[in-house]
Amino acid sequence: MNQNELASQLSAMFDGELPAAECELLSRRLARDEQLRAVWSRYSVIGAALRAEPVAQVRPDFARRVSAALAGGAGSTRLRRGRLLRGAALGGAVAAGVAGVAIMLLRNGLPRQDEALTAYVPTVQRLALPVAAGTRPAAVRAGDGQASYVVPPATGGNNLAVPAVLAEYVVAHSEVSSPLARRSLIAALIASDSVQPAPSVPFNVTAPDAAPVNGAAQADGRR
Amino acid sequence: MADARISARATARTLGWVSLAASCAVLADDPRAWLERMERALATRNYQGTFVHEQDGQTETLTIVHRVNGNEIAERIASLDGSGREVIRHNGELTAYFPDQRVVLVESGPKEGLLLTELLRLDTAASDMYRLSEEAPTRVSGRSSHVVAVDPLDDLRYGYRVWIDDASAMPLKTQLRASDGRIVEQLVFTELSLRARIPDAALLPAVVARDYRWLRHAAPTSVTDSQMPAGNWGAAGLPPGFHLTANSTQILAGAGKAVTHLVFSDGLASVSVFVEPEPRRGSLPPGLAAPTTMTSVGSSSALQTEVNGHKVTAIGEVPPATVRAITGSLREGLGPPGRPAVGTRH
Repeated sequence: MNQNELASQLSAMFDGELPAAECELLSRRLARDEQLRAVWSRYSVIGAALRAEPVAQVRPDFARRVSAALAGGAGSTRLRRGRLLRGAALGGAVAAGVAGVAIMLLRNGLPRQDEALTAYVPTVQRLALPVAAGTRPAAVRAGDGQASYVVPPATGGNNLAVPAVLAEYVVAHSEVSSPLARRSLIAALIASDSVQPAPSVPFNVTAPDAAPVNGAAQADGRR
Repeated sequence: MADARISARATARTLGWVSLAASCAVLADDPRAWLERMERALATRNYQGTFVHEQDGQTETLTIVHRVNGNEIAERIASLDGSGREVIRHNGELTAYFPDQRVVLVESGPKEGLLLTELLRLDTAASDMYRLSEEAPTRVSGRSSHVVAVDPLDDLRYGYRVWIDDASAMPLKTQLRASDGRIVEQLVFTELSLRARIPDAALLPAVVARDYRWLRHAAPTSVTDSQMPAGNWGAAGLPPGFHLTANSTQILAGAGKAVTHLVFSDGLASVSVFVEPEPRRGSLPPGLAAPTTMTSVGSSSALQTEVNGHKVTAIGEVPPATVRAITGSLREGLGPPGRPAVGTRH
């Protein structure tokens, strides 16, 4: 298995889209491959960066370096763009840099001089928009020798929106919460433009989850 | 009794309130007594109104119809802002209509009585976590109201400011506040009518949903052994004040599989934790963190992650850190001995 295939598999597993049997195989490989474990951990950081923004110094040449890395790995066009970013990280590119680019796009928009990134902008913006107004860093918790990265809640965009994957849990929780809390939950459920009770939606760490893209929502004429 | 009506526009001409106020004489000015009066009003009144839900600069106008008939509570909440979505609770069932998706979600809830006893009742445990006080009386939508403050004593939970109508004890305005005083969410009635009677027609959905896709969970008795979530789940090292208040197995609408539903509460706030036997990624080697997402749902925080190869979804009207801490305290094998009873709530 070459690096690109491995990147694809690892990314699919991270997104919960890899068949169980292949997950087991890859888990065993993860257990003995330290480099692969490091990549897995970096995925957490990238996922956090795409949806939030861990506060990090963004070096001016990050965009160019990541762009070059992405261009180099662009052969696997079958991969989703989120996977492309992570695939680049596996290829030894610049995991931290990818995070940095996400932050930079999020705060400043696309650097004009970097045309090569243009192709990826729609995806990154789509992921970034819901949290564009937020500046809270991703929470990092260390315990038992492992770190976990938690993406902070979106603080901008349509905060009343409920992610599709959460709709049924929101409904179930509303039945056991206090009436005031229930009213808030139901208001959120009703307000959302993007709720689609689709239980088959994969559990996906980098999904743009709830919040609809602002532009799309406006175009839709609902907000 | 004539309908009593609260409205910014129609306050002055509301004579019904005079008799209502007389019949609801204030027995005590204790904030706890006001909360109890509000609780009673919410549990026993028929009402109909419009409220504005505000959060982070986003506002949504909703309409509500609430009817109490003995032990039966029926309620309809619908958006007035265009999505056409609505939620109707009736006969212990909650039905959410999504006309934009042509989908209807149906969820069976616990018995109504169970919910009513939990309403803002600050039990002994909660009194260690919140401070109850009363602020200077003020006016909301032209009506005199008492302002009750429920302030959290730490940053693991939110507090409330509730503007309670002097005459009816209905909450005219509610704010959810963080421990630093920041307003997380606000809900204000712009119009509220107390009704002697609410016709069935007022509780019917506005949409014709016959052709929609209906996602309805099966009756609890259809849970088979193979569907039961493996293991007994409990928690160790919960955040201060929180304890397990319910542990049930249920089938979520549309999911078609049983999930363990744990409810943790500090007496006021509650957090639901859903555990599903869904090892999507196999067993991760030790030391690797499972992907975790944290999302806002209105003022609630929701987290999805994996614990011991199970998909875990936690949601509650508490700050994100609290949901995270509760999820982190989950342990398999700590639940009550034996398999949790289907539909059992403690």
